[in-house]
Amino acid sequence: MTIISGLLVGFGASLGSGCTSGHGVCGLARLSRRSIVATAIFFSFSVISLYLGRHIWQIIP
Amino acid sequence: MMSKTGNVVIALLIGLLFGAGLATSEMTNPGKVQNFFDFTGHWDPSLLLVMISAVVTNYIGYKLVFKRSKPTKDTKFHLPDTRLITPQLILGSAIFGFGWGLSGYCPGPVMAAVTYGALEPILFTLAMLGGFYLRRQMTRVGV
Repeated sequence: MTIISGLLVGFGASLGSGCTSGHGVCGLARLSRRSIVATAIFFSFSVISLYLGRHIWQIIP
Repeated sequence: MMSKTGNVVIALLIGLLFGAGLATSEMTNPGKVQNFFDFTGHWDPSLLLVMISAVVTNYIGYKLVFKRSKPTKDTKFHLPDTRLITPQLILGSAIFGFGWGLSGYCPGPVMAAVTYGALEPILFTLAMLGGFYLRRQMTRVGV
């Protein structure tokens, strides 16, 4: 689980050109349109995967 | 012009400050980060404040920094040169977000969390480096 999510985070941050710090903190502070889109998408998907993992699949405590 | 060593020292100090900020705000605590995503369970809104204060601090910082024609230790600012919303940006952000929700770790905080000595952040960091490598290989073959 740790390894799969690590791969997803590494691959996704690389493909999407940024992470929480890059898009979420630096990009938003520069009012970058790409970063606003990226941040909205990754927060939404975090909420979705946590919901699935914790409440549906029950693999997250 | 500063020496290369001077730049390294500055980078170290900035890294130290960033790491201390991540640890203090508990971004390095994956359970707390996951509770921030948990709207239907025990939602913990405190990381919203972390995010807002980080963005406001940077916004003010950038206003001051970009008044300069160039950085003090470089010949020019290195900013992203694309403004396009590409499929890569959308797909990459979705994949990244999915992994972030499952684990509670994102790249900066997990590297700070490695110092706690537990196995999980170390494993995660290695897998994350694997993810970076995979993407680089794909770029190389033109995907």
